[in-house]
Amino acid sequence: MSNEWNQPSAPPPPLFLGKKERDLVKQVNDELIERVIGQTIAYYPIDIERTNFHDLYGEALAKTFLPPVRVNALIEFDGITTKYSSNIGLDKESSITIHFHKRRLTEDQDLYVREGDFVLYGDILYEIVTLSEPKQLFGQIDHKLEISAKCIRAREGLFDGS
Amino acid sequence: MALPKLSPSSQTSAVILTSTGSIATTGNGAANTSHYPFGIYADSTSALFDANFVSGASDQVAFTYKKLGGDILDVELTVGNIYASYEEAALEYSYQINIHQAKNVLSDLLGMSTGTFDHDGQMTGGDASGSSVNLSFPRFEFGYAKRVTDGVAVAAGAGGNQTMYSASFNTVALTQDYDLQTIISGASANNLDAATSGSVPFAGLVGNKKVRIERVFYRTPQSMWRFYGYYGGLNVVGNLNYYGQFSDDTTFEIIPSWHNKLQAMAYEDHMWTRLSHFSYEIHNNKLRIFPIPDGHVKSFWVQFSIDTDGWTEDSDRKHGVDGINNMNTLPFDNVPYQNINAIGKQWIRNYALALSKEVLGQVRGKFGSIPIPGESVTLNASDLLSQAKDEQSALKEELKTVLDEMTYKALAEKDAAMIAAIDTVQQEIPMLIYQG
Repeated sequence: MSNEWNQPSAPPPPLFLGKKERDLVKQVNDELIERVIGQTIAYYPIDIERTNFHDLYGEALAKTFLPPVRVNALIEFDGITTKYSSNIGLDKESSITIHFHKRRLTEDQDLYVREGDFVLYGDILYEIVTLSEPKQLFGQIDHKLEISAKCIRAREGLFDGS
Repeated sequence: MALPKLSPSSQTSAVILTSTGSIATTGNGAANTSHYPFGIYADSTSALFDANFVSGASDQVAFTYKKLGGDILDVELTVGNIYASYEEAALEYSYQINIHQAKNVLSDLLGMSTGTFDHDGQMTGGDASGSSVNLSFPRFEFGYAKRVTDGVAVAAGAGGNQTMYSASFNTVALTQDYDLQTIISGASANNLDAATSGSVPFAGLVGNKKVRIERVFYRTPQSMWRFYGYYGGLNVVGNLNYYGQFSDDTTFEIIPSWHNKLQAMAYEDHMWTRLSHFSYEIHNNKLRIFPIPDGHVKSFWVQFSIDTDGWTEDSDRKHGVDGINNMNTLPFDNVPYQNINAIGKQWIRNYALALSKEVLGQVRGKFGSIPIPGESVTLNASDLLSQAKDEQSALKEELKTVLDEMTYKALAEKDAAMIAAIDTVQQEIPMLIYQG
């Protein structure tokens, strides 16, 4: 008996949530983030090629960066926390969480978010310390909606954007 | 260091309504027929093509854009959505107007020529094709009343639209029963009258169909001769018998013809019912004659009609059986765009806007909420849909109400009310007394 059923080489596209729906989501997100909410940051990508890293620790006191890029994103300001360290004194920590719209970032701005890059939000420079992609679009594994970046305030001398 | 300016263009094919339409035949132009589900007004090959419709559809884009705040936030519609809504609005207006006109004129047009229609509702054939019946103010014809009257007249033996035939047969001495179905269907089959042996006008029409006997008689009545002839002349009242205007010492009254006719009918009735030698009964197909004929009267005649289906049209003339029977067969095309006045055009704009809102609501409401980074957002789909529904209902209801107030019947009632009101006012005006 011949095999009546042939397995397709690729799974069929989603029945109800295809490209048009994904494009609509992107369109609404673009409009909402850029024209309605309007929060912006300046993104400073570190130039790995031209930065002189320490061979052992991988750190560089002087960092070379590519031209900063203005990016619209949703930014959660986590506040400023005062912290006391014994023998040192008071320290103020500030952190933000940046929710990037992934498609806007990667498709339209050709920008990729990396740990160790810096962002300017308001007049404070932050360093990206943690990245995650917490949300899929319509539960589709190939389509991530956002990149979430946890950032902490860059200490003086670490990076000044100049 | 100053922040860099960077506004990258989206690489995604975003759907954003443009601020204006155009009348181009390609792309996003309103004359591009691919934007229209039906293309009744915009397709240059359509009988109802109208360049003004194309311009109107193009203008509707700017109207919708402004009304939905497209200059502030994006409207996720294409110009094609607007053009299609505009077409639908024009067709809805046409529908409402045609319904209204159907209410006005159906009773007058019953039985008249209908036609055949294509998928757009345009007439493709029939006597009324191309006559724009829905734009006409037809004569008052009492179509339904006339049809009822015809039926009543047939039943009353006073005319109507059913053919009456007569057949005759010879009596046989001492034979009382005669099978009329056999006699009539035989005459019909042979085209030969049983008594006169002449051809019959109902040849081939009877078969086993039911015949309805209206009269049985055995001799051509001479009543008319008696009444109108001899001394008694038309327009003269005598004693209805044997003297006329030349008799002596008689006063004659001049009377109208209808009076004379009524007297003649009464006289004829008198002759039929009181002076006949025979009477009859019909049971099933059998005619029974009383008293039993003795051969003195040679022939009897029956006057009859042949029962046919109510929807069967006569072959030699038309009664309108195949004509207009209800709203569905009215020869109404879509209302041409050029025949829609300013009132209608504004209604179309508003209705098209409501339709566009509905489409936008459907687009924005496909998902309960749209995910955004870190959150989700709910758009105004439900507001748009409810607004669209309410606006469409209100517009249709308003149009129906206004049109119902303007049916011919309603106009007549208003005129009557106005005349009555004026009458009342006149009654309150004091009658002046003039002194000469």
